[in-house]
Amino acid sequence: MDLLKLIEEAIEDERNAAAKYRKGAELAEDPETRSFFEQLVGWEQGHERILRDRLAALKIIRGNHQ
Amino acid sequence: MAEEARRINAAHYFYLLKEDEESLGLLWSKVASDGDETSSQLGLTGPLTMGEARADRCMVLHHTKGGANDYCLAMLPNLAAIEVIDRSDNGPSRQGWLRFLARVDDFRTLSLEKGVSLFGESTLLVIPGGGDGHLIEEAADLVGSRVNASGMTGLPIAGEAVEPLPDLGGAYLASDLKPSLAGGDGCRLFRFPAPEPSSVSYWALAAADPEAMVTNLFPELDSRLQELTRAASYFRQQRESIMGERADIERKVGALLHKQVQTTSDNEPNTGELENRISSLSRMFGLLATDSLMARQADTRLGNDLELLRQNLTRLMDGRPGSRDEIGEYLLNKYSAELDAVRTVARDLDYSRQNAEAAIEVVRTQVELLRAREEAVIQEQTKGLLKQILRLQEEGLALQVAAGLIEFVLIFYYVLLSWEHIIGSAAAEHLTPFTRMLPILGIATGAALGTHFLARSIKNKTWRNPGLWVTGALLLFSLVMLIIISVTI
Repeated sequence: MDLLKLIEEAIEDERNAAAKYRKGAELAEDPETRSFFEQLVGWEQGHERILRDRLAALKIIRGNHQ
Repeated sequence: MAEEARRINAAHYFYLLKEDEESLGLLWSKVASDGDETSSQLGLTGPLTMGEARADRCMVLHHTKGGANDYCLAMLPNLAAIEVIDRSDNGPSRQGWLRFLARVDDFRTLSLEKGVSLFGESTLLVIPGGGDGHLIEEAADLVGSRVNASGMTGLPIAGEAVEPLPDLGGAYLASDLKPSLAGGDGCRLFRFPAPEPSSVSYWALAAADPEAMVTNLFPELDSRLQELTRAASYFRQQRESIMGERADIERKVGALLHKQVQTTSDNEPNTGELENRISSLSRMFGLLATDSLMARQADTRLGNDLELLRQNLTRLMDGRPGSRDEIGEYLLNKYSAELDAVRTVARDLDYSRQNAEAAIEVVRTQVELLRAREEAVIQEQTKGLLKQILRLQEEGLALQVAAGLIEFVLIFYYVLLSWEHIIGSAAAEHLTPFTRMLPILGIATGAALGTHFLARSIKNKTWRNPGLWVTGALLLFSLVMLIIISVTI
């Protein structure tokens, strides 16, 4: 399996998870629950950023370097 | 034509992976929609990227103008760059830079909303040639203020953590450029500390003629640095993980070697447990070998990147005695240290691998010693058993001989007695002792030996036994002789 493709899928998963938690934050009625969902959104975005960063590095490292 | 004379105030570079055509297309269409006049070296139709035309240098493919800005789509050795270049009649000023940076922020926000993946970004503030001291300080102050700007958060994370520049008496590093590159003596490149957590790096250029530097030469250097930064960051993280793994393995190897081997019921070390240890050590050795391979790949990659950066720097920097090159020194020192760290890790991994190998040998020797001891015990037992069998065989042979002798005597006695009874004592007395004894001796010998040979033939399941036939013939001959003597008396 193409590992880069796998990371791309993982990025998509993180994005979907963040969207789900964002929706949870919107639907939450009490501040504590909202804050919890917002925290989850932040975590997922952080994961997405790390994965994007690593993906870019891997693409550059694996690419035909001149 | 009047626009041609307008001076460059600043430039911003959005770097993207060449293969990320979607992001490149999105950002370029966003940027190009701002332009009102378009020209290009290649046609505007067709794909934006040019994978097959890998330029060694920066190659501007598309160029459009809009208001005070020029927009270029350029291809670099491994990345694509969208250059946003700000021009004005009045020359550079803090206000002008701020307006330009706000415009760049808009592009960034829009592109991020569209899901564009940026590889990195750089801002280059341009000041008139000769290095206007006041404007350099303005630029440093502006960059410093952006470090703390709240709007900088949420950008793609930087390829590296913030790197405070060494204290050289200022908030930036400076390097003299070759006079031919940017309009004569006094042209200089400045580098500001990278603000965290932005991936934007900040530079300034003092040049009488900044066109070539801004459009081509600077992005060539900067893109190399962006790649090197990203690769170094990746390898740094890998290194940390490898070192953690190595420390864990070293600890486990030490623990395995010092752990008491469990003994069996007869107080002997357990071979199975030692074999399990070899298996564990082999697994660790495999991990170290993989880590070692990764470290060597990182070494090769960083070494190549560093060499390319050195070439880029040599192409741009003055290099004459007495010229200033703080940027080159800083970058080369920094990444040389990274490379050294990678090589140290590779060396450490080699030591660990040797340790693991030695540990495997130690345990294997333990197992071999144990096996040799077990084999010696088995050999001793076998030897005892063989001696016992030999003794039994000897005893069996003696019994066999005794039985044969008894058989012979009994047959001899009873045949003689029976024969004398049959022919009568008077007739027997007429015979010489030799004639009386000879056929009886033949019968007794033939019967005793024949029994032995018959038993052997039955055991070997074959009648091809010369002894059997000879004794059979002897028995027959003796019987015939006995009959003839009996008849002729």
